[in-house]
Amino acid sequence: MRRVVVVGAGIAGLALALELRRFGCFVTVVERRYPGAGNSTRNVGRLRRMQLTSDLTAFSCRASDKWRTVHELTQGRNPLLYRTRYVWVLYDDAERDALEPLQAMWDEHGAQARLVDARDVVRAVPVLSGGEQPAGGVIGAAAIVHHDAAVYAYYQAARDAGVSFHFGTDAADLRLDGDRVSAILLDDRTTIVADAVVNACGGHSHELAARFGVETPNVPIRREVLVTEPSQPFMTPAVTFYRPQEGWFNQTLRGELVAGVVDPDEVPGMNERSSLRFLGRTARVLLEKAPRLAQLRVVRQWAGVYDTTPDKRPLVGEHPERPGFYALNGWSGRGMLLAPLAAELLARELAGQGRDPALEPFAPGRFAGGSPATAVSGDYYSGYAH
Amino acid sequence: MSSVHQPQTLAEEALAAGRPGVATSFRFHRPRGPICGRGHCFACEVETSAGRVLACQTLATGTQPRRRRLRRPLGRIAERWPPWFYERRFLRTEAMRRASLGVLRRASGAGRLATGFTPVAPRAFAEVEAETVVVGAAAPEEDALVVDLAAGNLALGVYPGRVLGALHEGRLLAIRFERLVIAAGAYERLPPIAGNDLPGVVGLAAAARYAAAGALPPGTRIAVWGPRRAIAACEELAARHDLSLVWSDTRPPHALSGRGRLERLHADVEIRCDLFVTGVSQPAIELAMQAGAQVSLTDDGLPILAVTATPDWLSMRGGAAARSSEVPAVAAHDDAFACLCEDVRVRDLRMCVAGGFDQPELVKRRTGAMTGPCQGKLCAAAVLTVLREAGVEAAPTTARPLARPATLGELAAHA
Repeated sequence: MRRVVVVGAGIAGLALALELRRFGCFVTVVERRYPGAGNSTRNVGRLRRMQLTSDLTAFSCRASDKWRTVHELTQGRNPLLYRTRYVWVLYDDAERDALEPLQAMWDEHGAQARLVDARDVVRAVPVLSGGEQPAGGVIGAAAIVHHDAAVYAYYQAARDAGVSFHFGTDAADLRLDGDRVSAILLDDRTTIVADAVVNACGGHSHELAARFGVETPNVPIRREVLVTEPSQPFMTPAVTFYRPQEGWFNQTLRGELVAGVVDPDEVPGMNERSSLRFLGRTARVLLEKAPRLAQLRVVRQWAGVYDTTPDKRPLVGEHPERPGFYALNGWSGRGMLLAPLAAELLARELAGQGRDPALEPFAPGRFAGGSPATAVSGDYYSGYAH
Repeated sequence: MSSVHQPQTLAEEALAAGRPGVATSFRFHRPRGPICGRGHCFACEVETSAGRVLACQTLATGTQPRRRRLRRPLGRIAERWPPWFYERRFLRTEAMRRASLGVLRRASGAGRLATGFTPVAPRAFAEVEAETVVVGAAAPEEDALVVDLAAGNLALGVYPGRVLGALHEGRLLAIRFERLVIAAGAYERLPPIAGNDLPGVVGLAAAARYAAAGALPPGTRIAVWGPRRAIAACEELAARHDLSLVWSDTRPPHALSGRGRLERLHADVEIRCDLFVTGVSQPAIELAMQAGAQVSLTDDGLPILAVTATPDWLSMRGGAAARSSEVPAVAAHDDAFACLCEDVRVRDLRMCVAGGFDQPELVKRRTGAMTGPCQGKLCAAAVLTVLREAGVEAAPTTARPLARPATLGELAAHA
C-alpha cells in the first residue's frame, strides 16, 4: 500500500499519518475542520494501564509504553505526558470483592496495579477526606497527557514529514475498482487516488462508513465534562469512582479540576451539546466524595462522545466487505491511550509487514454473522463480563 | 463636592490607598487590579484566609489578602517564552521532562485550595416554564421571569430546547421559555496598547462606582478613552467627585506605563495619571451565542463582537445589542495583552498565527486565550482582531455555558 488517505485529523489519524510516512507511504489527511477537532480536543487525556479484561490490559500496557516514545517520534516535541497514578475508588464491598480476582491478571501483564484498602485510597487522594467513606480501591500506574500538546506534536511532525493535509473538506464517496477501493472523492470534487482509505473519524466514524456503504456497529455516546479555574496542586492521581454513580475527576497540569459524573440514562447518538442537569449532578456527587472542592469555580462545561462498540474494543483493520477500506476508530473512551500504538500497528499492516497478533480482538469484521450487537449506554463498565 | 462614602470592598480600599495592584496574574505573575468592578473580569482575584475571592466583591473588613510577590522573577523568565514554550527540545531526557512538569505544576499564579470546608447542602432542581425570560436589568415586562445578577440570580447558560439554566432564589432552575430577552449589558474592551494590563486601568462603570464609593480621592488624575458620550460621562464624573481629568480621546494613547501600577500615559506628550478609564464596550453576547445567534466582528472602527442575527424568539436590549465600538480602529501593539486571564499578548497571537495555527479554535488551544475564568468576555474581540490583521476572517469559538463562573458548592443540586 503506497498511497493512503486518512479521513480525520484527530490523534488517531495524525498518529497513523506520521507512522505511515516512516514506512515511506504517501499520505493525505482529509479533515472537515481543524487538527484535533472532535474528541481529541474534548477529552482529558487520562492514560490507564489497568483494564478489566486480559486482552485490553495487555494492549493498554503496551500502548502506555508507546506513549513514552512519542517525544522522540515527533522530533523532540513534548506532549506534556505527566506520569502519575490512577485510583479507582470503590464505595461498595461487593465491588472490591469482584475486582480481587483481577490482581493476578494485572501482575501478569505488568499493569502495576494493586487492590488497596480505604486508608490507602484517602492517602493517595487526600481531597477525599471528609467525604463519603470508600470501601477500598485500586491504585495503578497511569499518565495524564495534554491532549492539545499531543495532537499538535503529531500534527507538526506529520507536516514536517511530508504528509499533505486537506482541511475544510469532507469525504464524499469512495471510487472502486471491482469491490476494491481505488480513490476517494471529496466534497470539493477533488479525487485522490488511494490504495487504502482509513476511517479515523472518531464519533463520526459510523456516519462515514455508512456514507461508503459499510455497516459498522459503533455508536457515539455523549460524555460531559466541567472544568474549574486553576489552583495550586492539591492532587496528582486520576480518580474514577463507579457504582452506584459513575464519575471521575483529576487536576490538570495547569491546575484546573476536570470532572464528570455520568448520566446512566444517556441516550446513544451524536450529541455534543452541554446539559444543565450534568452541572448540578456532577457538582453534588463530587462534593459528596470530596467536600473540600466546594469553593472551586466552574468556568466551563462541554461535551464530547465516546465512539462506542458493543464489546467496548476499538475497530482496527480492514473491513472484510470493502477491501482497501480500513477502520481506526470505535475507541469506546480509550482513544488517547490506544491510538498511538494502534496507529503504529495498522501502519505496519498497511506497509505490508503483516498484522500484529495484538490487533486480533479489534478486527472490524468480528461482529459479522453473530447476534446483531449494539452498543449500550449506562454504566461504562457494564459491557464487560467480569 | 466629594463623596462622603467610605471605601468598603478590598478593591475600593486598595484604590483609595493608591495601590490598585491587589492581585497577580496567572502566568507572568504581573500585578493586576480590578477592571470591571462587577465580578466578571477576574483580574482582581485574591487569596485570603477564607479562600479565593474577587477583591471587587468582597468587604475589606476582616479579610486579609495574601500575595506571592516573590514569584515575579519567575514571571519575567516566562515573559521571554511563547505560551507553547514546552514544545520543542525543552529538556531532552525523560527524567528531566518529568521533573520539569512537577515544577511547572507549581509555577502558576493560581491560588490555593481552601484547607477547610463547610458541608454543602445540595440545591433543589426544578424545571419551570415561563413565557418570557429577561436576563439582566431591562425595562420590566409584564409576567416576565427576570434573572438579574443584581438581585443575586445567575444565568448559567442557554441549553437546547429553549432552556435557560439559572441559579435562582436558592434553586437550580431549568427555565423553559417562549421568548428570551438578553439585557446583560456590556464588558470592557481594553485598548490594544502596551501597558493595558496595568493596575489602574478600569472600565467606565467601575470608575463611576469607585468614585461614588469614595475610593478615588479628590485630585485623582484620570484619563479616558472611548466614544464621545463616555468622555462626557467622565467629565461629569470628574466634576462631581473633584477628580482631575488629564486626558481624553477617542483614540487610545500610544502606551501606558508604570511600576506595579499605572503611572504614566504616553500620547503625543507624556502625562502622569492614576486611573485610565476605558469607555469602549464589548456587548455581552455569550448567552446569545449559546442560543444560536450569529455573531461577527464589526468592521467599522475598533472591532468588537456584535450580534448580527438572532432566532426570532431571542431579542437583545441595551448595551448587549450594541453594533459598534464607536471609536476608530488602531493597530494592536505587540506588547499589549489580549487575554488577561491567561497572560496572552498580541505578540503571542501573531506568532501563533504565523506558525500555522490560524483558526480561532486552534489559537484558543495553543495560547490559552479565552480559556480563563472570563471565558473570552474581555479578549475574544481582541483575539479575532489579530486574526483579521493576519487575513483570517473567522467566527468566534464555540460558546458554552457557564456564562459566568459559579462554585461547585453553588451548583450542587439534586439533578
